[in-house]
Amino acid sequence: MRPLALPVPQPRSSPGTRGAERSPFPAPTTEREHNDRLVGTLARNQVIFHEVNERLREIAGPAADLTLFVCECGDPCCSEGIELDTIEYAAVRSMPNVFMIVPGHERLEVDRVIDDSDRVMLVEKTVLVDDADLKAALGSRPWPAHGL
Amino acid sequence: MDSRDERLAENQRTFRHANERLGELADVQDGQRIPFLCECADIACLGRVEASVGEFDVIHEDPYRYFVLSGHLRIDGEKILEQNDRYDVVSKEAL
Repeated sequence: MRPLALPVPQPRSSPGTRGAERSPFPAPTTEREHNDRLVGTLARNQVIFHEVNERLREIAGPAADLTLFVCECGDPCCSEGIELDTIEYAAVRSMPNVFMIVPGHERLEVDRVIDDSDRVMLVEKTVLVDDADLKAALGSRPWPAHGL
Repeated sequence: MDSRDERLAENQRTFRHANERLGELADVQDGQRIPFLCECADIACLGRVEASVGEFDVIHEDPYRYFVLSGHLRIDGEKILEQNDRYDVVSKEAL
């Protein structure tokens, strides 16, 4: 799986050592804190790229045949695209907690794969996004249900 | 920059990258405005900055410059370089 361009956690000092007790610096971030932050970042990035795709669809208009969308994986440096037609895109968006990604870009920390094809993989987010505005944005668009 | 500001700056970089992708993929005519994401520091912001790809490119030639909706969350020390009725251009160069 591709590495993300995110900071790697530093090893934590052994508890009880004199150096750690006397260190004038703040305690290093624990691995769990780092993982929690990473998961939160991945989930938020997915929501932002979901929003980018909503705007691409809006720009393309209802008569567009095929539109090139962005991959909604959580990697902020991902530059791959997914080409879908209007019906296919609407089918994805009819499922509010589902994101479309390039096959192989899934992150099992935040994703559960629910559908897979040559062109697109659909994943359901398994972590909560705690920002009310983002949650509202995820669930606010009533798309008709179509089969993909 | 303290850890809070670092996180806010990371939010802005994420929005910036998302807008770069939006500008690349949007199929528009020259000068046509598209609804970019506001690049303020609030990760929950889904505000719309209406701008053309040309305007976006000029502002973002400088890696320290962002556009945000007027009044939106900024990082301490950011300077407003330009304002119009659609957005503010801010710089983090001094940070």
